Amino acid sequence: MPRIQTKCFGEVDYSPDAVFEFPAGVPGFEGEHDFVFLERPGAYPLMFMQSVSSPEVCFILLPVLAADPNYRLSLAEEDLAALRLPAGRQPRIGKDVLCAVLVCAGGEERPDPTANLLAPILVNLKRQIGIQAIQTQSAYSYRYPLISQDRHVELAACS
Amino acid sequence: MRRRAGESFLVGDAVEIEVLEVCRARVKLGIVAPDSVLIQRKETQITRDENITAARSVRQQSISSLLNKVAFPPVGAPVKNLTDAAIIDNEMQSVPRRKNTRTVFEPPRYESVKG
Repeated sequence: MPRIQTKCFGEVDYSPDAVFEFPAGVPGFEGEHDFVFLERPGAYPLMFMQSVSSPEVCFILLPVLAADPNYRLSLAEEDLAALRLPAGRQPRIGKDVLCAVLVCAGGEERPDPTANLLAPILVNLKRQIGIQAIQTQSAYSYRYPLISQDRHVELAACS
Repeated sequence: MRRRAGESFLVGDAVEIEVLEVCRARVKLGIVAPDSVLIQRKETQITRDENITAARSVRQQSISSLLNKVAFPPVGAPVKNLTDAAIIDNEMQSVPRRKNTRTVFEPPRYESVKG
């Protein structure tokens, strides 16, 4: 069984069937076409999208419904075609497609974690094909705060 | 500047933009530019920058801090998405939860773990 070097979790064995193809890569990483999705105990519901060819390329993924339970897709026809999904209707999240958002974990550049709800990662599980869909007909934020102001207040009230 | 369909304008000497078609809410543009000029939607540029920041933020420490800071739904809560999908529910649930990193969305016959 092949093995990859991951960015954060050492070496991981994987099955070739667990590799998902991103024919166009994702913006900024256009040359990365093969990814595996990793999960870790204790990191639920986060997942990790690790490049097969570049150990240093790994993204933190959050299921979009964990960020926003009412999330609605508005994919362009060309995105549906790229995912090899039928034209004319939006896919059902969790049924037709996996839909997750890329998380900025927070660090020196940006202290508070955010998620890009404007451009979710979509995967057609049956065809093992993925894209990052940049939705133009959508009002979602590309820097959706994962710590809401309300929660700050809640935490303050509890302590 | 106001332009009708079929009219064009120049940006510098080398870039020409023609309004090809005007619909109610959208316009179709034709752009002639040198190969060295990257033409992309603004959202793509924004997403590229976000992706690069996101990739840079992935470190063990930042992952732990993220898990501590954010009130994610608890395990077992109906996050009907990633771990939903028939594939996981039907095929993976019978596989005992492993202790280490593993790949998901793969056939259960594989023992794909190495910590």
